[in-house]
Amino acid sequence: MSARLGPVLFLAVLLSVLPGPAGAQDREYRLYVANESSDLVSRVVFRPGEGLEVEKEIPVGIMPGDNDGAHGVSVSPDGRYWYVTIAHGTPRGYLWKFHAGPDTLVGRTRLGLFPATMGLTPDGQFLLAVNFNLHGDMVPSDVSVVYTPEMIEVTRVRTCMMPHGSRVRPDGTRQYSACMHSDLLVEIDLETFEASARYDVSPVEGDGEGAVCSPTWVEPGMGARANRFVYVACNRNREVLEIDTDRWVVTRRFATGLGPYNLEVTSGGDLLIATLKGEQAVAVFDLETGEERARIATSRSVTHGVVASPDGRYAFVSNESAGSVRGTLDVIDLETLTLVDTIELRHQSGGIDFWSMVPAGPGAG
Amino acid sequence: MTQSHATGAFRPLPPVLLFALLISGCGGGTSRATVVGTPPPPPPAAETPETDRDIQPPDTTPAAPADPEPVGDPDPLLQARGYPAAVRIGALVQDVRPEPAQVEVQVGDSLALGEDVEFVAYDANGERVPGVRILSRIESRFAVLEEGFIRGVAEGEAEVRMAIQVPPASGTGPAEIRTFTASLWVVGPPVVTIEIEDPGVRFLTGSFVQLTARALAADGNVRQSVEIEWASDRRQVATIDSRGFVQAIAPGAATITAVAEGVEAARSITIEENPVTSVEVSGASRARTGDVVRFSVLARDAGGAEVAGAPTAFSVTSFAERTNSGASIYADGAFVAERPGLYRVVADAAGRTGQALIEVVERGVEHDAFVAGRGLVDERPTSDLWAFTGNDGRDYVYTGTHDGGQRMLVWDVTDPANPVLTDFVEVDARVVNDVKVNASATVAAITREGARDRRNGIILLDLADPAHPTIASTYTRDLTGGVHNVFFAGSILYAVHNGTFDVHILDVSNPRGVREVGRWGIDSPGKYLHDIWVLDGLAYVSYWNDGVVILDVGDGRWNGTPTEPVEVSRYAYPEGNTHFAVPYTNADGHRYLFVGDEIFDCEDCVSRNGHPGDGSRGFVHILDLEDPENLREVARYEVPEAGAHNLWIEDDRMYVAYYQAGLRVVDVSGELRGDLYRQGREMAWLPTGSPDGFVPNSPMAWGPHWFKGHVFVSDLNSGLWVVRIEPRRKAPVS
Repeated sequence: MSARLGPVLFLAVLLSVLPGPAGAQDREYRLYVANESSDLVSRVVFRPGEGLEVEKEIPVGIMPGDNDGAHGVSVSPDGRYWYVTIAHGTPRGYLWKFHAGPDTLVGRTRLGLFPATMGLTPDGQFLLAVNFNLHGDMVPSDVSVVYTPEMIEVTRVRTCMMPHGSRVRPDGTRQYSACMHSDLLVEIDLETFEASARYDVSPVEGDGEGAVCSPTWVEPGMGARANRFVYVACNRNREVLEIDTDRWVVTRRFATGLGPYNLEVTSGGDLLIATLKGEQAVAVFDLETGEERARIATSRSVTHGVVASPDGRYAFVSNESAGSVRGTLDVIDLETLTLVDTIELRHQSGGIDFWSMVPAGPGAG
Repeated sequence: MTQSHATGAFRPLPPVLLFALLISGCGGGTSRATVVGTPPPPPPAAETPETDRDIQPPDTTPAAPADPEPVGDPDPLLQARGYPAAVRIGALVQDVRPEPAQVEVQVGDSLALGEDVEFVAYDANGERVPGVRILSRIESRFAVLEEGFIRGVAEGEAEVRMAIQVPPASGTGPAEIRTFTASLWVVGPPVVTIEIEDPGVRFLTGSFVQLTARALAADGNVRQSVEIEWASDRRQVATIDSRGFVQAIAPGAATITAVAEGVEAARSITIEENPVTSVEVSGASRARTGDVVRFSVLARDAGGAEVAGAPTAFSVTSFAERTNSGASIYADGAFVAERPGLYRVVADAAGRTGQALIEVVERGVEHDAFVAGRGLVDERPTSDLWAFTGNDGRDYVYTGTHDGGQRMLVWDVTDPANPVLTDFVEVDARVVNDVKVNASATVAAITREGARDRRNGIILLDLADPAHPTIASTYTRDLTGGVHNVFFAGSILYAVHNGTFDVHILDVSNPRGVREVGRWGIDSPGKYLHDIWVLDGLAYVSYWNDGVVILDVGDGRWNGTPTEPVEVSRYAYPEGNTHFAVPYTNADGHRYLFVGDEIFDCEDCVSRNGHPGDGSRGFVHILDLEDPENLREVARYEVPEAGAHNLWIEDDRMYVAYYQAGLRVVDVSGELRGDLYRQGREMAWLPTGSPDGFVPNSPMAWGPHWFKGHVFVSDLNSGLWVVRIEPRRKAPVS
């Protein structure tokens, strides 16, 4: 670790040697993180008590003379494959599929402009990637539907301007994405592959003139809230909305810090974790009480992605950082609500997904 | 809008629909939510406090077809439990194809799915299978499929992919996808005129003469990919084949017709008795490899008089034992050899032949490339560079950085043997791809990609102290996608924007008050803009698979101005990936445009890291620029095992940063034809890899800049190189 992470590192080392609960202490947690400005995907292992280690760096992208932009990472539900969106292209980006573990390329397919985050159906057959079109004209974009066994894009669903944060709800019947420049939440019916609902998430009266949500993420609820509630990060309006998709109403609002960006709900559905891109922190909410249980500073700036381990014990957070300063991956203990370790990755660490927990235990995906 | 086609009722996208699409994407209006399809269930009795949001009735988006329930079919897959009916019924499908079978759409027009064209599923008996959900995609530069409409973009054949879901063969597990493909033809506007061009020769018995015809649309543009049907009304006098070759058989008159899309043109020809009895071929008897030598033909009759206008054709053979190739001769009599040796040039004039010999010797231009100095950059990748004399009288090179580079480095190269890093400018970016300095050396522009806030744009530097430049301003407006390259033309800066893929034209006369004064881009789906070069009022814009585009930005002959460019011409080639274009007029007055490919995604690209496509390919295409409206590719420079990147031309020498093949120096004097690499025109090369580089021992030459007798080269993996080119002391072999 070459960077001067200062107090964070000290705290991480200190906490990492403390004994954890039975089970988690003996586990190994592995995940993939995309480094957008290095065109590398890092495979990282976390061993409680030992800490984080970069096991491998997998080069992606085509053009070393240009930055291809590895943006989103998603692991298939069975853990056999992982996918990365290559955002930049000439001009359309790509989806690459790898065997998880050997990390060998299985296939590629071309998508739309700036493909970003992805969601997979529970059977792993379909991947839905939002074509973010971050830098193009502000026109409605779409969601690419990819049949993963053959890596073919079978259709595109027109949704809105700057769709982001693609997620499929646990029963696999609906996909959701948020629209940064349309202030919309869009639902796609995964039986028909057509948009089945568009929900306006713009602030209501009293939120101030000119207030916008600018949603960057939508995360389906888990546990008792599965297949009905979703959580939307209002990046500009500094809040997370809980939306009942049966009735299409906002049921709760969670005030956050600056720039809530990505969200994660733990597998049991009890915690909601929000990265605060503008605040170099994450916020952890108790979904039963609605209270913010902790706000935890992350190791570097531009806090981006978050994923929780299937046992609900840890959250892994990517931080982009800026310029020539490398990004980092942080581990947050969701019991103690503290940052327990961090490791430096490559440039602009962003897209993140969990791969494996060995040995598997309750809640393992 | 052009007229509809016979194969269907073609409709352009109506403005009302476009507006509706925009609104639906914007979430405009008063609706808080729009639920498509089934109405929402009643709310539960007790809930947490909620915000007032109303549910609107279903919108007008057509619902999915009702799920049919197949009854009585023996196929067990149809009885498979757990799959939607629309999936189960997919088991009956043997084929999916469009109706009508021949789908054509005109450039600029649209077909409505479900009205003008329908994708239909058929069973084994050829009967329609209703209720199958068919997903469709078009991935093509010729047509797009958007919101239920197929829009024709450019002439060509596009592939339509149709997919259906079916139960798996095993009967258990996830539903599978079966795909079917069909062709879709995008056609140009109707042909209204055919012009048969004058071949400029006489039709003498026993000779072959090729006729060409142009098919013109109503707007006067030449239609591409139009099949011409040729015919002769007197086959005993003259025949014509499908390629337009007239064989003159017997004296007399004949009428040749050319037909395309029902439009016909005719040309009367007269076949004359062939008077040619002898043919004289003349040209140089000695040349070097790569020299373009002109051969001419003189046909004579039995009396020794010249026969004017006889059709001629050339061929060349080698006397070498091991090969009969090594030289080429073109229809205009231009001969060029790749290998030394003795060659026989044969000219055919109306069926009679003559010949001449030419001896070709080694070109003998070998030079040596010496490393005069280095500016090692070992902690970050290096990108483009610019060399100039600062207003303090000293010489400088500025270099950009890549992949987390964040900096522009400042080198004092007054002593080229000892580049001194005097300073750097650090900006919020991960890639500073391009660096340019204006002609008066008062302002530099650097590009930004990968900024923390993703706003990117450009930064202008004040060069009052060129050894320690300072930031004058940051300009990001409408350039948030990142700027990849820029070019100065007086007080105008042309910026290549990664988001719009247009050229943004900026007035930088006040570096602290930059403003956009124009914008220009082609209209092509999937366009990708990479670079721009401006010289003498013409801009050369590299538009990847759409080729190179020449713009009048002040030349005036096409009424263009620096802020309101006018397109002069464009030229695309099959390899695509047009990445860089530089014009040059050599000492002999030949004007060429040197155009570089940048190809990483190809079957031959070297796999360095276990995945395809991270080795570079591509070469330098050389276009005849004598008439900017009619570009012709006449030559190439292709290092077989590597890929071209940026280049610089000075004093009839082309310096190419050829990525993994290092710096190449090429003789571009005289007329250029064929492959310069194979002709011995390469003068020197220098591998720019270094054991102390950011990536050791891995040449990745990025850009050259000739300056005051030295070639300054940036290498992605090792930084700045200063190269001196000197004649090889060993005498060339001849």
